[in-house]
Amino acid sequence: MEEYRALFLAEARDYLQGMTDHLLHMEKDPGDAAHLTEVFRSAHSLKGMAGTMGYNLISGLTHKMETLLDSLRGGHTKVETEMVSLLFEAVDLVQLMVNNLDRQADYTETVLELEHKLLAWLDREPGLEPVPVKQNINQLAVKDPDKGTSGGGSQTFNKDVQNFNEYEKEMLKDAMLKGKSILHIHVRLLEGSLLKAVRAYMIYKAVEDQGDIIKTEPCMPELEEGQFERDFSLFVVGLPDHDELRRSIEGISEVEKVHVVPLVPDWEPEMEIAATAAVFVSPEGDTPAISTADLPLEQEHQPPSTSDMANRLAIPRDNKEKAPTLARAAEKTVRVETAKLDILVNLVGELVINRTRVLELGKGADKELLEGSLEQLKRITNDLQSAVMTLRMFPIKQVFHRFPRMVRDLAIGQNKEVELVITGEDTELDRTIVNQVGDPLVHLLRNAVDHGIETPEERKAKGKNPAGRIVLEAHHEGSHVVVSVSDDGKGIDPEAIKKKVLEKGIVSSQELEIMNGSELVNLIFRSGFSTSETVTDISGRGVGMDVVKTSVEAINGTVELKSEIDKGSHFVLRLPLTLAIIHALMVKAGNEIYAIPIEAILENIFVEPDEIRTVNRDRVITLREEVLPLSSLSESLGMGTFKQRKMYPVVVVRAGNKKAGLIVDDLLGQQEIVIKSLSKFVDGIRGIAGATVLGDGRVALILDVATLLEDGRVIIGKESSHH
Amino acid sequence: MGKKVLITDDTAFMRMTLRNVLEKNGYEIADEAEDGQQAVEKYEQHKPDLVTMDITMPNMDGITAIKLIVEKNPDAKIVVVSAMGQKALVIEALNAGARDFIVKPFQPDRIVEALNKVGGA
Repeated sequence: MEEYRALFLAEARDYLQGMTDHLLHMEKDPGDAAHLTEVFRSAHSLKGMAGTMGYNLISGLTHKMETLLDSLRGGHTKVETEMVSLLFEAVDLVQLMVNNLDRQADYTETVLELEHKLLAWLDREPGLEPVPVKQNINQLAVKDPDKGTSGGGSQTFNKDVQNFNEYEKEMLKDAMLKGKSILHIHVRLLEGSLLKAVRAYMIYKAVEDQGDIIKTEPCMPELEEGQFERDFSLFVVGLPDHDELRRSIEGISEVEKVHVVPLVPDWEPEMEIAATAAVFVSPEGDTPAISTADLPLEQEHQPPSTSDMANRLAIPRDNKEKAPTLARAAEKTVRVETAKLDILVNLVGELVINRTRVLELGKGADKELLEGSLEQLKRITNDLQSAVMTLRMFPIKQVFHRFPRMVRDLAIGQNKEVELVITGEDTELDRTIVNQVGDPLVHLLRNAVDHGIETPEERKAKGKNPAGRIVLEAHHEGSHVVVSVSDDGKGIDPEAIKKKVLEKGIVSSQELEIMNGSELVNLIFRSGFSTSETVTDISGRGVGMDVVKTSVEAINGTVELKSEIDKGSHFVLRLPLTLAIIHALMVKAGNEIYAIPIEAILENIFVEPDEIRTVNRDRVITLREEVLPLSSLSESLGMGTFKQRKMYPVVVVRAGNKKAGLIVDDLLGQQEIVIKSLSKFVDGIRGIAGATVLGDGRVALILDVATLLEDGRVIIGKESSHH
Repeated sequence: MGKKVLITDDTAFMRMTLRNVLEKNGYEIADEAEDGQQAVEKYEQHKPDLVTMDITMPNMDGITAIKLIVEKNPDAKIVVVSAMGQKALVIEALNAGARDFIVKPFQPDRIVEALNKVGGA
């Protein structure tokens, strides 16, 4: 059962997401029926799945959604924002129930309330033709507990079977005169049969092929609407072989019983037909006569409720081990537990480490054969590594897909018009990063709607399109993924920022004076700076942009802002593709080896002692007309003191808009390293991002350049204003 | 060896349910199709004895698939597995050449019965 449940969960979430996406499109473009069809299809599939699993509330609610959607399809109802919101409400509720499958009952009232609202929407449409499909659904939905099947009420077989009208009597008379046989075919369907109307239709067709049907009981319209319990009758003339007929009906599924009885009407032309079953007599007795005992005199059963059905859909437990393979055979994508992936990634990491170790050992051996096979080992591990890494890659779509809905709701809440354009949603990056990039993006998008995009009136006054536009974009750039959020709103005023930072005492006025426009704007990332002028329920939560910056930097990313007044703001997030394996420059400082992530490195230079100047007791050099602060890595990490040398290797690092030169003792070269998390004793040390195991088995610490620069342990440098 | 069945449904859940029920009842699953297009292709590939066909599917719906399959294979034995409330569509499917139908959510014995009857088991 668990397997089914997991699959149900996964698929239900897909369908819910699909509904959300298409509802948004539908709202935007009501003329395009494709989206409506997709929403409908998703609701429909969900209903079927939930019904099979016995989640009655979900299937009931999706059924009502379907009804509303169907009236849209039929053009009986128009797409309106309020209605889309109602449908969204339903999507949310279903999502809630899907998330809390074990506590379905808690939602009974909420569901009923919402179902009522959904149906009320249909009813409130003035002058609306009754929606035909809705009607049919109600009649056909045998399992709708409050409806049940009326079965037309009076259709027990023998009650009014003989109500032949004049025309029918003529037909019978004619048949008799011509010596044709007249058959009464009585069919009983299996208990709980659904779409009985269609079943009846199938049987009708099978019979029609072999003779003329002169009457049905119940009458045709009722048969077509499925208004009968389990039994119905056909009266046919001109059939040569009733055994064959019986067999062909019995060949149709859900047929429980078929009686084919030749009729000898016991009437004279003028006589009225007696209203009892006794008018039919069975000749010879070789064919069983319809005895009233065979036929239901009473409505002996009620249609089964959905839960009965679901309970009876006995899902075989012993097939459990087969289930995963089934899913795999059919799915294009495989859902793999991330824990398993992590193990695989770790193993590949070990392999890479071992390869390096073997390579180093091989250096001494100096044998061509060894080198050849080592070269091969290297190639294989490289391939394996990139193959495994792709397993961890997820399209950023997984984060983006919830934004259209979010932006829509935010915009409606503020009476703004906002169009969200998403591109590059198939860009893939490591799942850890995918998981962590969501919150910063939510924040940026909220800000864009809340503070960036103006009200339609303001925009019109500025000569802009009343509808604002937010572009969310992702693309690969080397070993990075760049995600940007741009809006065409009012932008950020550097003067306002100046005022604010001075007010809050974040930066001194002297510091402010030497800042350029871009630097000023990027001050919003400083902690303590809140962008909200007025507190709204959207972004005025005391959470500033510094949180965005911190969380982006936590995944080795950077965030930058470009903004122009009345043109809009442009946030650029640069994120690493993966966190598990990185390229790093290995350096020596003191007796230790450190790894500096390549992403943080701008260049390596060699500095002679006389190039170093001292400004305010800090060491600096001038590099290409730019003043670059220097700091000794050993000193910064408290691992030693600055030693006089003839030549200093310097690694120029950068984090955000800060730059610095790190003086190291030696540059050891570039290498791929596997990040191992530090044990909890040494975890959380600022300046250290993790550790890695080197080829020779030694452990090297990985530097966290961003926090090193942030802490001021390495003197903060500034981007040159000469650029 | 049991009769070969091609399962067509756009939900993996329903395919799995069908597969389990049918395998338990002696049927062999030739393949699974996720939409009408796949069903048509996989029918030609496997020439199964029986086909279960969902109606509402992406890319190509079940009715179109039935038409295409039956056009080339008049003897194709297709059983529609439809959801509630699709009366008109089921009738259309039957007219297109489906041999029988059952309604989701179904009881396992119903689909088995339908396949047994259509397949002449």
